[in-house]
Amino acid sequence: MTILDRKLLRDLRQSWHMLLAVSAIIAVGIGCFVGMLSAAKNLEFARSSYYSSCRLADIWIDLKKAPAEEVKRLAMIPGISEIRERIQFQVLLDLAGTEKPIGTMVISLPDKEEPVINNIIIRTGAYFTHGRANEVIISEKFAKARSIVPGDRIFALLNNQREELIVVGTAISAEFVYMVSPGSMIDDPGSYGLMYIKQSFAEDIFGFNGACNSVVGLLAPEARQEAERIVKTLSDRLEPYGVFAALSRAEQFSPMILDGELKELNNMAFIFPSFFLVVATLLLNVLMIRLAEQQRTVIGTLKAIGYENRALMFHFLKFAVTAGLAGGSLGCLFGYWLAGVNTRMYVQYFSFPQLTNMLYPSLLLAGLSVSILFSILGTLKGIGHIMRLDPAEAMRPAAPPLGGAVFLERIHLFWHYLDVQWQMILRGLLRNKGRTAVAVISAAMGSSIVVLTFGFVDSLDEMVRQQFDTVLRSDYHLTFQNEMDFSTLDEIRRFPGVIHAEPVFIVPCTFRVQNHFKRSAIMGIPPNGELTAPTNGQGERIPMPGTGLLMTDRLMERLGISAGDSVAVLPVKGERRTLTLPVVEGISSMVGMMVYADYNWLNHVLRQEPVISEVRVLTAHGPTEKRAFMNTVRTMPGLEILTDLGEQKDALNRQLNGMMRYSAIIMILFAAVIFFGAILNGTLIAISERRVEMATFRAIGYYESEVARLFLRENLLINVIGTLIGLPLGYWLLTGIMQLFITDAYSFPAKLNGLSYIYTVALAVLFVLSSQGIVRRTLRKQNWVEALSLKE
Amino acid sequence: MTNRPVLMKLENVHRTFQVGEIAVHVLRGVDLDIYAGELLIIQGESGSGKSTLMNMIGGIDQPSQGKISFEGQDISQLGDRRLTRFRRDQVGFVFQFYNLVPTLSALENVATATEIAENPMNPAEALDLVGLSERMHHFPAQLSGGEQQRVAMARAIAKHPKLMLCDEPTGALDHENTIMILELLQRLNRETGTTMVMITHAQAMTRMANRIAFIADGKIAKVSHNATPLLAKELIW
Ligand SMILES: Nc1ncnc2c1ncn2[C@@H]1O[C@H](COP(=O)(O)OP(=O)(O)OP(=O)(O)O)[C@@H](O)[C@H]1O
Ligand SMILES: [Mg+2]
Repeated sequence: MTILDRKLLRDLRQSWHMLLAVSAIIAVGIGCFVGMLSAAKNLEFARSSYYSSCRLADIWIDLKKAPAEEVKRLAMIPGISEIRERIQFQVLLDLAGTEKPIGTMVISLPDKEEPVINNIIIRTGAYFTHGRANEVIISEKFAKARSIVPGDRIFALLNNQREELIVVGTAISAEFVYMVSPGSMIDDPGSYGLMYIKQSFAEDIFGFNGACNSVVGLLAPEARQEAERIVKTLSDRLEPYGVFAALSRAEQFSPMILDGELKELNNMAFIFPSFFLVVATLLLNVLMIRLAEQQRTVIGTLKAIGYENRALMFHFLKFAVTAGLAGGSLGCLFGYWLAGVNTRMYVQYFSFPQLTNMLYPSLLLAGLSVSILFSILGTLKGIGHIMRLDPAEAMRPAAPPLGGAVFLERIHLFWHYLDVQWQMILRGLLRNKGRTAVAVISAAMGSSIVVLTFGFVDSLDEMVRQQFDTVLRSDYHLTFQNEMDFSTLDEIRRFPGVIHAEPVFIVPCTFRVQNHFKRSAIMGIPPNGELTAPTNGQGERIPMPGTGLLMTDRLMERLGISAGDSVAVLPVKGERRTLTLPVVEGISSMVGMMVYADYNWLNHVLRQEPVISEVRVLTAHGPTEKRAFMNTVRTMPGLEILTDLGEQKDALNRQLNGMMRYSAIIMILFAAVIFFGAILNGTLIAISERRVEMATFRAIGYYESEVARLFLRENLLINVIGTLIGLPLGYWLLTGIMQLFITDAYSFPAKLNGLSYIYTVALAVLFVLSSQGIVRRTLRKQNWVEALSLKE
Repeated sequence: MTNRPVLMKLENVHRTFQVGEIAVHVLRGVDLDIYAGELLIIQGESGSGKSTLMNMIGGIDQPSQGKISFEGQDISQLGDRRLTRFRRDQVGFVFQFYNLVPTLSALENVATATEIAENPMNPAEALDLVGLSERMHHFPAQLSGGEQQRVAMARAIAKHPKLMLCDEPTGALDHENTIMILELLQRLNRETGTTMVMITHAQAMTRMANRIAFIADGKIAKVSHNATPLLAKELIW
C-alpha cells in the first residue's frame, strides 16, 4: 500500500461520520433505483412467461351473439394467426353463508383440455372430466377468499336458472392477472368471482349452440404493431352481430393495469433516486471542498516535494469514490431487499403462477456505476481546488477568512434586534453561501419528498371521498342483463329496506370525432337525482343539462374536442343509427371515463320508451333490513351484477391503507435520511471548521449546551427555510407524478391538505431536534484545549 | 568559492504578483549563482522577497521574467510535469512550520518522499540520521517542534537531493533545538556535499555560511563571503 493510500485510510477514518451520512443518502437512492427496476424486471419476467404459457390473446371482441362458424372464418384475415370463440356471461353466485349474491364472470373452456388462447393454469384439483356436465373450475384467488375447494358444490343463477355446480379445480389465467368487477376500482378477490365451465354446458345453459359472444385471437408476430387496425377490421366484420367491445391487448383491463404499474415503476425508478443522488452529490462537494481547504498545506507540501497533480487528484477521487462505493453497495443490498418487499406486495395484488425476486447483476452493476459516477461528480469542485492549488501559495499562511459585513447588517432595525448568537449564525451562513445553499437545497428536497408522500395519501383519500361521497351516493347498483321497463323500478322501490331508487339507462356506444374512436357508454340519469352527481375537478356538482352530454375531460381530450363541440355517437345496442350529440360541459371522473346525459332526453333521442339498464338504490343500514333486501335481490330475474358500493369503499380504503400507509412510512424514512445526512454533514463540517471559535467560547465560559444551541438555531433556520421551499416543489412533483399515473381506467386528483403542509414543517423540525443528540455528542468529544493550542 | 562548479544560475529574475488591480513587483532582476556544495544564506527584510526567490529556486514557483537554470538546464519555462519531476529528483525542502502530514507517522511522513524518489534512503535510516529512530511511529501531534522539524529534515534528505532549501527552518524553535537542526544541516552539507540554501533572520547564523546574499528592492544588493565558516555549535547569540 502506498503512503498516500495509507493517508487515505486515515482520512477516511477521521471523517467516517460525514462519509456515512453521504453514503446513506446514496444508498437510499441506489436502493430505490435498483429496487424499483428489479421489481419491474421481476414483474416483466413473470408476465412474459405467464402470457406465453397461457397463450394470452392479442385481441378481444365482446358481442351479442355470433355463429361460431362465422367467427372461425375470421382466422383468414391477414395478420390473425388464430381465433377462438367462447361464451362468457356475468352471473350471480349464491354461496352458503353469504347474504349477498356475488357477481361472477363465467367463461367457457373446451370440454377436453387443450392449449387454447387464454388458457388456464390449474392450481389445485384438475381439469374437467368426462362425466358431469356441471363441472366448474374457479379462480384461485376467489376460491381462497371464499374458502372453496375442489369437491365443493356451489349454486349459481345461470340464465335465470338456479344450477348446482361441482368445483373440480382452481386455476389462474393470464387474462385476469388483475381482476375488477364491472364498475369497481380494485381487485377485491372475495367480492367478484371468476369461473370456467365446459363449452358444451355453456352452450346448453345459455342457449348458445353453435354460437358465441366472445372472440379472442392471436396475431402473427409481424402484425402485432397493427393490433388496433386489425381489431377495427374484426369488429367491422362482426358488426352485424352486435359488437359491445373490441379491444387490443393494450386496451384490455388486466394487461393495461400491469402495463401502467410497470410504467409507473420504471418512471419512479428514475425520478425518485435522482433526488437522493443530487443531494448526495451536493453534500459530497461541500465535504470535498472542505477537505481540500483543510488539507491545503498538506497538499501544497506534497506538491512541493514532488507529487504530481494526477496522483493527488486520484488520492482525493478515491476518497469520494469510497463513499460512492460504500453507498452503492449498501444500496444494492437494500435495493434487492426492497425489490423483495415490493414483489411480495405484488404477489398479494396480482395473480401470477410464479413471481419471485431475482438478482439482476446488470442492475447491480448499473447501481454501482451510477453511485460511482455521482461520487465523482461530487468531487469535481474539490479536485478543482486541489489542482489549482499553487504550492508556493499554499505555503503562505492562509488569508484570514473574509470578515466584511453581510448585507443583512445594513438593515439596522432588523440586525440590532437580533442577539449576538443570531448575528453570528447569520454572518456565518451568508459568508458561506455555497454551503448554505446546499443545506437549504437538501432540506427542500427532503421536504418535497415528505410533501409528495402526504400528497399521495391525501390524493387517494380525496379520490375515495369524491367517488363514494360525492359522485356515487347510492348503496347498491343493480345492473340488468337486458333493458327493463319501469315496472322493475317500481318493484325495486317496494323491496324491503329500500329508501330511494333511481333508474339509469346505459347506452354502450362508440364516440367518433373525425378519425378518433373511443368505445364507452352514456349513462342516462335523472336530472335532479340524488344518487348520482357528476362533478368537476373541484368536486362541485355540475347540473345536468336538459339536452346534450356531460363528458369526462380525459375523454374529450382523447377525442380532441372541447365543451360546445358535437360528437358522433354510434350506439351498440338497439337501432344502430349514428347520432350527433352536443357535449355541453366537461366533468371529472376518477374511475373510467364517464359520460352522462339526462335520462329522459337520452331515451328520447334514441326514440324509445323509457327503459332501465340499472337501478341505483339507497337502503336502510340496519342488518335485518339489509338481509331482507339481499334475500329479495337474490331471486330477482334478469339481474346481472349487484354492486355493493359500501363494500367497495371499504375494500378500497383497506387496500389503500395497507399499501399506501406502508409506502408512506418508508418514503418518510427516506426523506429523514436526507434531512439527517445533510444536517450531520453540515454540522460536522462546521464544527471541524470552527473548532477554534468553539474552543474560545468554551474557554470564556460558554456551556456546552450554549455552544450546541448555536448549531441548533442554525440548523432550524436552514431546514425550515429549505422545507418551506420544498412545499411548492413537492406539490409540483405531486401534480406531475399524478399526471403520469393517469390511464383510461383511472385519473387521480392531485390533492394536498393544508394540514399536510403543517405536518411536513413539523417533521422537519422534529428531524432537526433529533439530530441534535449527535451534534451534542460530537461537541462533547471535541478536545477544546488541543483546538486552542493547535496551529492548523 | 570560484573553484566550485555552478549548480544553479539565476539571470535577471523578475516576479510580479497580481493582487486585484495592483501588480506587486517583488523581484526586479535577481542575478545569482549557486555553487555546488556551498551553504548559502539569504537575508533581507521581511517582505523583501526571500521566500519568493526560494520558491523559484525550488521549482514551486516560476519567474514572470528571466531565466533560472539548474545544471545548465533552463527550468524557468518547464511545464508542470517536468517541474514536478525536478522537485521530486533534485530538491529537498525544509519549511518553517515543518508541514508534516498530521495523519501520518514520522516514518510514513519520510516515506512520502522516499516513495516517489529515484534513489532514496531507507526512511528509518533517514530518521536515524536525525536522531529520531526511537520516535519513528509517533504522529506529528505527539512530537515537539524540534522533533517535527527533524522529521521534516529526514523527509528532505532521505531522497539524496542535490539541493536543500530551508526557509527559516529554525524560526519556530528554541535555542537548543535550533543548534541541533543547524548542526544536522551543516553535517549534511559537509559530509555529502549537498548544496544548501537557507533563509534566516538570525544574524548570528550567517557566520556558518560560505556566502550570504542580501535582498533589497527586489535585487541582490550584496553578496558577502566567509573565508572560514564557523561550526554550528560555535555560534553565539
Ligand atoms: N502569492 C502572492 N500574492 C501576492 N503577493 C505576494 C504573494 N507572495 C508573496 N507576495 C508578496 O511579495 C512580497 C514578498 O513576500 P515573501 O514571502 O517572499 O517575503 P519574505 O522576504 O519571505 O518575508 P518574511 O521574512 O516575512 O518571510 C510580500 O510583500 C508579499 O506580500
Ligand atoms: Mg518568507
